[in-house]
Amino acid sequence: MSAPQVMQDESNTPADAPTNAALQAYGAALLPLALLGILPVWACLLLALLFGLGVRSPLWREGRLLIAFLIVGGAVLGHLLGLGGLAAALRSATLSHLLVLYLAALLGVAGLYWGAALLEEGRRRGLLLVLAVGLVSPQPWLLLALVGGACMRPGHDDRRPGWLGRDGVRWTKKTVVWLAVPLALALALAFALPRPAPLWRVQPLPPAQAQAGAEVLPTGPGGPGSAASSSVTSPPTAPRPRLITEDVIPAPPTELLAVAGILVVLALFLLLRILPARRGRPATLVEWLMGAGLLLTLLLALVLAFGSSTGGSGGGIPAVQGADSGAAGTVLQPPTTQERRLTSFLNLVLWGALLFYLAIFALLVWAALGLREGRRRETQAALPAQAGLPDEAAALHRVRVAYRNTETALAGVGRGRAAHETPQGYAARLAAELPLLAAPLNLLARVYAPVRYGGSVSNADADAAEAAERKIQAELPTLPPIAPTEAAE
Amino acid sequence: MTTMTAASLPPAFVGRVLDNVARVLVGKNDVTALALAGILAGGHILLEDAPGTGKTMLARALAASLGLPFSRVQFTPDLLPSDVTGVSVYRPASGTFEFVPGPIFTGILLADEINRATPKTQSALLEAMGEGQVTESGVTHRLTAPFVVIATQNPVEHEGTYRLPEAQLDRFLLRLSVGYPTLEEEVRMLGRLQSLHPIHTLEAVATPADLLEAQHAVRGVFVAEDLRRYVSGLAARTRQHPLVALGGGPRASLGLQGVAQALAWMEGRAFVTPDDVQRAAPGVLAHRLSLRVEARLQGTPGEAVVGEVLRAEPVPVEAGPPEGGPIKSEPIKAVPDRLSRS
Repeated sequence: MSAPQVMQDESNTPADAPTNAALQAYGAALLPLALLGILPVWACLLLALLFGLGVRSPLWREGRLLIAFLIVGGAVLGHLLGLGGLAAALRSATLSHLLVLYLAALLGVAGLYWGAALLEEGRRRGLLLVLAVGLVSPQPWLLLALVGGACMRPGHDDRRPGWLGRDGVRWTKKTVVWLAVPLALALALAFALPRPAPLWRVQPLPPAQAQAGAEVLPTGPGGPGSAASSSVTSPPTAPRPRLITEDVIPAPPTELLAVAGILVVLALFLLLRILPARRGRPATLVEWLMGAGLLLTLLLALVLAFGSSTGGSGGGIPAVQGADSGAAGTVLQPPTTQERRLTSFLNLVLWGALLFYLAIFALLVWAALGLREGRRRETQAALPAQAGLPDEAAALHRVRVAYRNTETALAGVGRGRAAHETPQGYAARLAAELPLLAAPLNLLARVYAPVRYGGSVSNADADAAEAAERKIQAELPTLPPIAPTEAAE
Repeated sequence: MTTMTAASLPPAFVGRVLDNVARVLVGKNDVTALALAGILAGGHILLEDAPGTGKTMLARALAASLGLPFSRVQFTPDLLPSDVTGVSVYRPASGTFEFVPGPIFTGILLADEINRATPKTQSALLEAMGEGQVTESGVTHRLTAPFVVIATQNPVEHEGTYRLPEAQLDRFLLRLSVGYPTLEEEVRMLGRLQSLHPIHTLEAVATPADLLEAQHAVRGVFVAEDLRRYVSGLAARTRQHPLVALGGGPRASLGLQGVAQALAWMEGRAFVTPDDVQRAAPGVLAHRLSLRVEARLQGTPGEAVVGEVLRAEPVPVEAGPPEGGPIKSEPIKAVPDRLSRS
């Protein structure tokens, strides 16, 4: 027999209960300002609201990353539609620019998420992450993001952060240096580094150009920044980017990418269907938003990667600015080494994306199957317990009634239990006096002990207890009269 | 030895140890069981009885049966604390002090005639018994678990002895008396010990790991809420008794619950009953009571006071029958609390 476990009372605090965070902790809401160089203002404001809610509620804090992905995806999707629709965007080399900026924004919010987590743990190096995110596209609002990050960091002993000087913080040289140097550095970099055109400033193509398949110039060898810069203007006579397929790493088949993306989406649906059911409650708003963020991220990544790999006409990454490769059919100058390298690199990224999809798919399926199996086991384990509960409860009740009736009956003939006597001791005393009743008394006391003090009984025990009660009740009239001295006691 | 589980362990483990000790100590199963319960509850035992009643044999037999390292220290007035705990010795070759562990670094320490040592030496045991460690020259040395002190003292002879202070007594979970054997038991003992003393051939029937596992299992034995109140009520009544100057404290309640759990576990039960508590109470409570002068003059021992306390405290049993006679079986309206716990 194993010892029954005493259930520990869990905290009654709901997961979304507001926390008593200090005002400075809401400095986290300023962190998304670091992304103003990439994302539209409305998206940054939504991110600020999200990070602020994360301070207030642990539930929102859990959902920060995926909901931030949703917001970033929404910004990209909005811009994609603003370009003149998906079909036009697919024909446009702007898609590569969007893909790069989208990846930068995703990495940016992931960096902010990580930085916020570090800062909430009181680690200063979270500020470096915010700074790194901001320097992807430096702009003056980065300073405010850093100030917010410094504010939100709690002290070592979890008191209110005192760097503002309210709680008697000593303004030592070290403190000043720690604050001044990063701020000065950020300020200098914010103005000194070239600014890429943010996503929300990329101009949509004129309808005529989009129809004609004229391309905005794609990314150059200088990376995302220069790609964005070059995409601000779109010369009306810009030729289509040519496709390089020789002497480069080939791009993965687009069909494979599509299948992988669809598999991931299906696996995600499976997981989302199981998760709330496993918890025994409907999904919360935060969970829906997290799921939507993940879904949108995967869809956008799929669409952008698909579009980039086809380049509007299929067959590889559209490389640098060059001559038309398709419609005119004229072969121009061979691609340069730089073009080949860039194309190989981008194709490698696509292969990586494909592997990433497959890995995510495998993980999601594994998680879903694990959850489903766990739920099945729980259900199977719960069924016998639930089925047995009324029986055991009934058995306990029957034993309790049998014992109480017997004790009452014995008390009625002057052989009651003394207050200090245990059931076993009482049964032993009576058994010594009344050997005829020894067996039923001992049996009743033995069966009663688990009922009263924490064990379990079966229906057979209950039957035996009731039989013992009947035997004792039947023998009561035949008991010898109680001695006067005994009665006096 | 196979690994024992909490469910299968009690009958086999307990039976083997009790049978093994019974080869040496005839007819003392009850005191052996209580001593084993004390060890299972993680406590220390004080054996108080006349010389030659088997106190040392009980300690040695328990140590041998449990497979624990055994040390014996004969407490005398000139015994120093460092003779028990260990001492730092200067090593000229290395120019450093090296700690040489004393006999306390063992599994079962037999502190024979503990009341013959000075209070200073007796107190050297306090830290080891309470916290399982020894501090020497500012350095703390942990004792290996399980660590049990079994001390003996002669209650009759007081000349040249130092009465154990209350703080020291409180460290002992149980005070037991082995008692003289009956005539029949003594005859059996004479026959058994005629040639070779069985203590020399006693083999271990458990390992220290088994003991640790058993101690862990004992702590998981369920104690109902009203039984906890019963235990606390007993301790409180010792404090209110007119013959007691200083009654049992919270440590006494904890000890009483622990020994009751161990007794329940030894009987293969996963829950404690009031019988376990009542069986453990004299050994756990009596030596912790500081009796008033009147009690000493009357010759009332602590055990008698505990007996009175047990007779005064109501046992938690089923609530009395309702007015109008025996109750009838009725439909269940709610799941009992005990079921909802599990």
